[in-house]
Amino acid sequence: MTHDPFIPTPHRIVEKRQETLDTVTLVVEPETPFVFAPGQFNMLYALGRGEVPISISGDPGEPSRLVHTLRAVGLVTDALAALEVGASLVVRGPFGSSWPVEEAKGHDVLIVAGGIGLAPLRSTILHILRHREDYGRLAILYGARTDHDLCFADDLHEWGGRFDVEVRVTVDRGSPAWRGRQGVVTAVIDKTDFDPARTVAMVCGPEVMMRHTARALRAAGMKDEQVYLTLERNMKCGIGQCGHCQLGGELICRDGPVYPYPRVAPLMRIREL
Amino acid sequence: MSAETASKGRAGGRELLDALVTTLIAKGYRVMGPRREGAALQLEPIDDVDQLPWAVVDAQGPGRYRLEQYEQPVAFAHGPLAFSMRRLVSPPEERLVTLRRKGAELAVEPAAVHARPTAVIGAKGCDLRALRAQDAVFRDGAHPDPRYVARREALFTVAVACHRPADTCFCVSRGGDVRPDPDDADLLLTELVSASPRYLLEASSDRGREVLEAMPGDAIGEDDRVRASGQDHAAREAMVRALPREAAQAALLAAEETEDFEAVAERCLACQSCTAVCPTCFCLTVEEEPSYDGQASTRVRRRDSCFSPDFSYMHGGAVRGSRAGRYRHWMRHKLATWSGQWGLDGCVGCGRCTTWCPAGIDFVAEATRHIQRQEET
Ligand SMILES: Cc1cc2nc3c(=O)[nH]c(=O)nc-3n(C[C@H](O)[C@H](O)[C@H](O)COP(=O)(O)OP(=O)(O)OC[C@H]3O[C@@H](n4cnc5c(N)ncnc54)[C@H](O)[C@@H]3O)c2cc1C
Ligand code: SF4
Ligand code: SF4
Ligand code: FES
Repeated sequence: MTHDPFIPTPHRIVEKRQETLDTVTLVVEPETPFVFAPGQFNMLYALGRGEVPISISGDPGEPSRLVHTLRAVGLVTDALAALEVGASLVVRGPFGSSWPVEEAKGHDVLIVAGGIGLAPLRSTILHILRHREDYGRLAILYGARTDHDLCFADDLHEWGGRFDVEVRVTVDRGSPAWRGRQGVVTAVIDKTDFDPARTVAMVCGPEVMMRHTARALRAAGMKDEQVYLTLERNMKCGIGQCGHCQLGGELICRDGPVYPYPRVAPLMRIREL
Repeated sequence: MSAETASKGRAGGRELLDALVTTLIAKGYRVMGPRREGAALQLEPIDDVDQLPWAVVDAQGPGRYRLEQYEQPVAFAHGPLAFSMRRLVSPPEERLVTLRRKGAELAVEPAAVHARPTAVIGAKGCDLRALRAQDAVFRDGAHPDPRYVARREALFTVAVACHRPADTCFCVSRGGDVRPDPDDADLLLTELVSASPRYLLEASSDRGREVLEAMPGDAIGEDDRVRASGQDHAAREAMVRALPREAAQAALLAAEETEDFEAVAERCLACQSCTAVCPTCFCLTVEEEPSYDGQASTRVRRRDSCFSPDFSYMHGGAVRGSRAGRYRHWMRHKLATWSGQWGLDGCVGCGRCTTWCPAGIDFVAEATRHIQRQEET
């Protein structure tokens, strides 16, 4: 019989990291290597509550470890964030499209992320770092609401310490203790040194942030075709069968969530689509 | 009897239908056909041709459905049944899996897949084309649904040529026809209308040929074929409703703003009747049925509708919060965006959404308004 796409697989949680007050990273070690492409997502299940789409935030080059980072914002994610080491993480996937890591070979890469939006891009960053020689310059621009909302702080420190990565972190509102940059992430684009002609930009964050970013990148001389972003909608299946994730004709779980910007730009402008 | 004779089909009176039902039952099928259920004709189990709606027809219009007496003693003079065959391949509700706490971990218990061999007599061309749409979603993509695939394989279809389309039908303008595409069915039935109707049965699949071979009957004659095509022609002529595919698609693609749908949204009750009866609609949700002690939960897949506000819920609100936004989505999906998603049409022209709309919203008239507006600009 054909494999049943609705039957999930439980994996034992081997590691849990508290990223911020409301965000955790959960690591499992699947029995068979979990092969995925950076940008893809899984459906994660919480007993009696349901399933939600969560991006894979781990290293695609290390398929023995499956990593998710999620923010507790409601019914299902609250329960997932409360799972402890030893408990089961129930997973279906991987689903969806991926960041253009092949197309970006030989190019500079500009990563622009807002908040939890760094999760799906972290897998791309790890991929690029693993194949560093295939890519040109790498810049990571990361914005969060406050310094307490910065995810992946250890990673950011490590990447920022390398000579072959440029990391710029900014927060909308810093706490009194914050000595870093303050302001929206789009404002950092101007300050970043990249050659618009040979750069591929990968953007993930709230929809307004992505729209502003796309505009700023255009102002910086990039063409829309060089910009990729991910979209988010309600998802009940992840496999193009429930209809919930439609944006116009797009089935975001199947055709996305990663899109070349020109394909979805007209759709993002239409209210309530 | 030789395979060649079988492939030439069978002809006969009402006794041919008798033989068909008996043969299908003998082959292990549950047989279903049109049957009067209260005030409507429904697709129901039958074991005797007497249960078919002899001399009963439906009068359908926007928000209107009535059964009437027909002057001819025939069984297939009716329009689309209230519910299509979609229920047989995608049931309104089904269990997928149970998750159960085992210490700190969760165990996965997949639900059994049931597929009862079922034969439908009187499948219409529109509904058979709608099954292609369901196939595209649940069978032919990257993640075939094993429940769907099993039920689809267990479904045997006896198509029937429509000789009396309902007033709400517009399949021809959607690329369909009163004579179903034989490739969509196992057998194709023609009812030649008269005071003593005659039936023609032709096979278009191996399964269909096997059934035909087990049946008695005359050969189909040249005069039978002439009568059949005359009837087809008259039925096509009688279908005055039309919603041209390209024009409707272009007009609805252009109708992007919710403002364009505010007038119809005033009348729309968002009751989800249209998506419930539409044979191509496929949307689903998956819900939890927890055990009393919270130690287990069964995931149940249920039919869903884009007219529900929860359908597009995301962080604290629905994306399509207004009724106009939801009506726009339904109509644009059916007529404009579907083909890009699935490579075929989202509306087969069965007219059910119009008949079963309690507010009497005429889908064709509403879409035509968009076409006219497009032509004016
Ligand atoms: C492709 C994709 C990847 C994602 N990756 C991540 C990630 O890596 N980390 C992370 O923290 N979050 C991610 N999200 C967002 C995450 O899915 C939502 O935060 C989550 O669905 C909220 O569910 P809830 O039950 O906790 O919230 P509630 O507010 O209680 O939501 C109830 C239900 O509404 C739906 N829903 C609500 N908000 C969203 C939303 N933003 N997106 C989709 N459906 C929603 C879900 O079906 C949810 O179960 C991703 C979303 C998508 C579409
Ligand atoms: S949209 Fe209406 S006419 Fe078209 S297939 Fe669905 S129910 Fe039938
Ligand atoms: S989105 Fe609406 S119109 Fe489209 S298939 Fe689903 S229920 Fe039907
Ligand atoms: S999540 Fe079900 S169709 Fe995309």
